[in-house]
Amino acid sequence: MTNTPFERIWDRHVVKDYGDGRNLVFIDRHFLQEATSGRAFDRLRTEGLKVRRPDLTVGTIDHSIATIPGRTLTSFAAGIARNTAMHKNCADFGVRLFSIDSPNHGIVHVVGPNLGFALPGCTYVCGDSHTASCGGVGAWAWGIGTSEVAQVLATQALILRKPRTLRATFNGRLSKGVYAKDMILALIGKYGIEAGVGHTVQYAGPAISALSVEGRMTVANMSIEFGARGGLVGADDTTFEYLHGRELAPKGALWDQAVADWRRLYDLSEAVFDREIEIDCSTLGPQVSWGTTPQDTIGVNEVIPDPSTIADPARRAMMERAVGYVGLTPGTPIAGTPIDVAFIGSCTNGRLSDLEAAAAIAQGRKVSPNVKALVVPGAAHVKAAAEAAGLHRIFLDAGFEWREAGCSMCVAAGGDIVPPGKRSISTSNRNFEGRQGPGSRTHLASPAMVAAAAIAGCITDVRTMMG
Amino acid sequence: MEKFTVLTGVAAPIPMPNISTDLIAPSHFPGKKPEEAVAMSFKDKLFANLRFFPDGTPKTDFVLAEPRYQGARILLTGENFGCGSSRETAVWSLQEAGIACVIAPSFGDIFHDNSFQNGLLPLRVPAEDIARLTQGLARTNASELTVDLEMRELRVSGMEPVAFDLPDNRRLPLMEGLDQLSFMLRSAEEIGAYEARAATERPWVFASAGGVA
Repeated sequence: MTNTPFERIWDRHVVKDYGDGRNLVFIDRHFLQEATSGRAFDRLRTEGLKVRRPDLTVGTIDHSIATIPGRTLTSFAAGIARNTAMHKNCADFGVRLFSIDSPNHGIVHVVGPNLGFALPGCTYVCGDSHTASCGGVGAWAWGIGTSEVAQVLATQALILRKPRTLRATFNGRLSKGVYAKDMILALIGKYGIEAGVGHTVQYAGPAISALSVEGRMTVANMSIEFGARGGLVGADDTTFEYLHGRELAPKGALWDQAVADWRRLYDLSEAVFDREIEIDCSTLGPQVSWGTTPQDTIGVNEVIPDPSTIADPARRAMMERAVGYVGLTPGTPIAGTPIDVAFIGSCTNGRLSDLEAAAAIAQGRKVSPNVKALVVPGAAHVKAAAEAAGLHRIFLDAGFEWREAGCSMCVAAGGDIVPPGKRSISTSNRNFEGRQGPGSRTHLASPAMVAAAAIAGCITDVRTMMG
Repeated sequence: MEKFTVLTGVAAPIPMPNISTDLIAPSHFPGKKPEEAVAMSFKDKLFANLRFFPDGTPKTDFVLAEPRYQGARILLTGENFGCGSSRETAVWSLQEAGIACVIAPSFGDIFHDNSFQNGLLPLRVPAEDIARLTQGLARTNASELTVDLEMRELRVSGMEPVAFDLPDNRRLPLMEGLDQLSFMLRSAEEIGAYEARAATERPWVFASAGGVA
């Protein structure tokens, strides 16, 4: 690779080259969450270490909390110890915490860009695999483990091996009823869940440029389901308009200086990537997953694939297991599959534009009596904006539950769980076995598709409900 | 961290691709309430959804339930092991259950790094070699496999050794039992020099940060 934005970002963050393929890389931004930081703080205490840069570190609580209206930090019994520890850890080590009473509370990856904490060209980490969401504003953002959380707390750096680069170009224009979620599901469906391993992805092309920053975050969010720890969208005028004036974004002369730098950083005119792949969006319809990885994705008007037609024995075995787990019949259309649960939320699709797309479908309609449907805003600011626009009334009138912000049913968190054998359609990111609870069956789709399924009681092409 | 040089132990085959960290270390336990599950050891929750039906009844056909695989130290498994969530509990669960090495054709990136941080070896070996090793093990009663980091080979009695690649920047820290944080702290001064330089080169990053400081 040469002249790629990733390479420019990498070069300016290398503190030290160990000469054996390892590099010490500086971390500009560290967002902590309660589920993966406890043992990291324990380590600092054991060794008498401090947080090196509390000014570059913030925290929130998103996994271990209930999302029911009126919830407190203790409403979800299994999360009390973690939530208590997070408050103590942040207080003891001087880290600013956005707890559930803060207007800046929410799922880390929804809050970071909204605050302007995530900036183009910065290195940005969090102990959560969906940190790549912040690549939607052009940050090089990736998820880390708890050992690495301790390392960043203590040194503000990480030891990395330089990833390769891959450009995923999305050509054409999205048609009505097709969204950012469909773009990333289609990419993973076409190239597989391992295609991005060892790479930082550059998302590019006219369909990416045309997306709002929120849509770009949805695409970058699922980089990890594509195998890549990080994925970048080039910062452009859309990005700058989004970030300008946000609480933690640079102001005044520094802002102008930053924007000039970011434009140079994301100049792609001479970039050469290690690998190039492409998706044609002009023919893309709504996507829905049928199996137990996001790779098992098809168009809503397609049929469940037949494993017996697959030549590769490993892939065939995997598909047979998946079909058995989800309880579907190969060769039958996926549309019309009855669902029990509809979940709208998560770091993938819990932003205002997601709720707007779902509300447009829900408006004036009723959730099927057999379906439990919930809307969980990704953050307090999303909830407030949605309520100001009256979206909560639309959802409540239609029969959806309207919740407080948190990770919720995406990861069977906070008491929100899909019961064994039940089938959910979800705007989240993973349909793995057991992800939404033991024995849960998950279909991934866009917010509009989930709203449509909640109303129809089965998987449905949302375009039939659009005017 | 314990030094990893030569490991000999029972190797159990789980020939399944895409075993996610959700499957390795689930946040829930079949048949139990969340507050009960959170109080359980990581070891007891390992592969819970593969070992139990959703109502909590054990699946007796799961490989690790078989008598010959009790005390297993090594897993032979399918591609993309440890994909998904960054939870390091996946590594801690395996280690608490005695697993010190996972052999697979490929791994999820975050699990791969988390494993090295804790001295668990995630060893990339081509699927054909894993199939041969699995067959070789099935022929012996002991089910024992040796992972030799010095010789960079895998040994099963009655078989030719199987060589593997592992870069020295991964292999040597494991053999030394080097803790990465302790190693990084030696670079504190260089980090300080970098910070001073970066503050003038990219002032907007630091002037507008977010913490209490």
